Amino acid sequence: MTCDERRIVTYLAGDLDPDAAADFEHHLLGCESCWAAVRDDRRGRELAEQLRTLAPSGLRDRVRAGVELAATTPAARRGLPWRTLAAIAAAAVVVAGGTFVQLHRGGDPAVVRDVLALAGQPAKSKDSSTVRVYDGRRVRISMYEMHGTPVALARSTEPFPMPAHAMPLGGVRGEPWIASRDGMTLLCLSQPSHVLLAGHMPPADLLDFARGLGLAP
Amino acid sequence: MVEVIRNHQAFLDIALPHLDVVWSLARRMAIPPLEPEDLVQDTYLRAFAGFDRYRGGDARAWLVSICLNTARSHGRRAKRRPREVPGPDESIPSDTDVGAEAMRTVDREMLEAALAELPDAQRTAILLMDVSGLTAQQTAEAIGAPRGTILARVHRGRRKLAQLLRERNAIDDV
Repeated sequence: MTCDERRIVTYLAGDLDPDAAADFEHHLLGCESCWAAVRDDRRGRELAEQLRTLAPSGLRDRVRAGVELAATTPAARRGLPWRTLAAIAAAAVVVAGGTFVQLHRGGDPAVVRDVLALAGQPAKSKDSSTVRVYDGRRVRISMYEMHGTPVALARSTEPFPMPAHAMPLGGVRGEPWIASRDGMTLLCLSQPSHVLLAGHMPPADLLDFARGLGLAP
Repeated sequence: MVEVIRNHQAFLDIALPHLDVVWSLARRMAIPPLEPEDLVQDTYLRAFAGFDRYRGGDARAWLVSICLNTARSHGRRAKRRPREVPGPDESIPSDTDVGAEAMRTVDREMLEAALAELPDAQRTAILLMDVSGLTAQQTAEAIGAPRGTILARVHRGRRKLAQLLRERNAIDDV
C-alpha cells in the first residue's frame, strides 16, 4: 500500500480522527488523484452491493429439511461428521427438489415395493391396516393421510431391508435411511421401533408425520 | 453470555434468516461440480454440527466464515478457479444509500463478469464485506489476515470493479 493509499483507506474506513479527516477532505478538494480513488471506491461498493441476491425459492425448505433430518439421526447428535450430514441434506434436496434420479422399483425389496404402491394409491381405495408376511416376517402396514396426501406406514419387529440408492442417515448401512422413488419419499426409522414410511412429500414433512405418531424423536 | 438452546429449531431460528447472505456468497464461491445449493447445504450442516460450540454473537459472520471455509475445502479438491459467470437473478435492495445514478443501468452479467476478473483476494474481500455485509474486522477474522490488509484489498477491488465497468461503458464516466 502506498502512503496515499493508506491514508485513503484509513479515511474510507472511518479510522481517521476528526481533525485528520477534515484535513484529508480539504486535501480532496484539490487532489484529483485522491478524489478519483475515493469516488471509485464508493462506486465500486455500490456496484458490489448490487450483487446481493435472494436465495432461490425452495432452498429454505431444503436446508430446513436437511437440518431436521440430521437432527433426527442418533449419529448426528453424537457429532456426525459434516460430510455425512451433507449426504443427508443432499438426499433431502433431491427429494424436495423433485430432481431425484428416477429409479426402477423392480429391484426393490418386496416390502418397499408394496409400501410405495400403497402410498401411491388414492386414499379411498385402501384398507386402513393389513398384515403381510415378507421372508417369514410379519409386517403391519397402515394407511394414513397427511393434508390429503396418502402415507403408508409399515411396522415390524425386525429391521427393514435397505434398498439400492438409499441414503443411510447414520453413516453406516442400516436404519435409519432415506430414499426416493419417482417423487415419493421413503423414510425408514429404527427408534423407538422399526418403521418404514412412504409418501409423496418432502422428507421433513414425512418426518413431522412420524413425529406426530411418536415414531421419531 | 448469550444462552444458546442447543437444538435444531434454535439453530434454524438463528441461521435461516441469513440464507440470502449465504446464498449470495455460495453462488460465487462454489466451484464446479459443486453446485451453489449444495454449498449452502454443506454450510448449514457444518454449522449445525458445530452448533454446540456456537457461543452467540453475529450469526451471519459465523455462517459466512463457514461457507468460505467450506468453499475453500471444495476448491482445494477441484484445484481450479470458477470462471463461469452466474446468471442474473433477483436483487436485494441495498440498505445503504446507493446514490443510485449508475446502479439502475448496470447490466448484471457484466457486473458478475467484472467481479470474476478481480484477483481472488480482492474478490473474496468484496464478497465478504460488501455482498455479505461483514465488517472489516469480521472479514479479517474469517480470512485470517490483518484488518488493514482487508481494507486495502477491498479498496483496490472496488476501484478495479468500477474501472472495469467504466471501460465497458456500463457506468457513467463521472
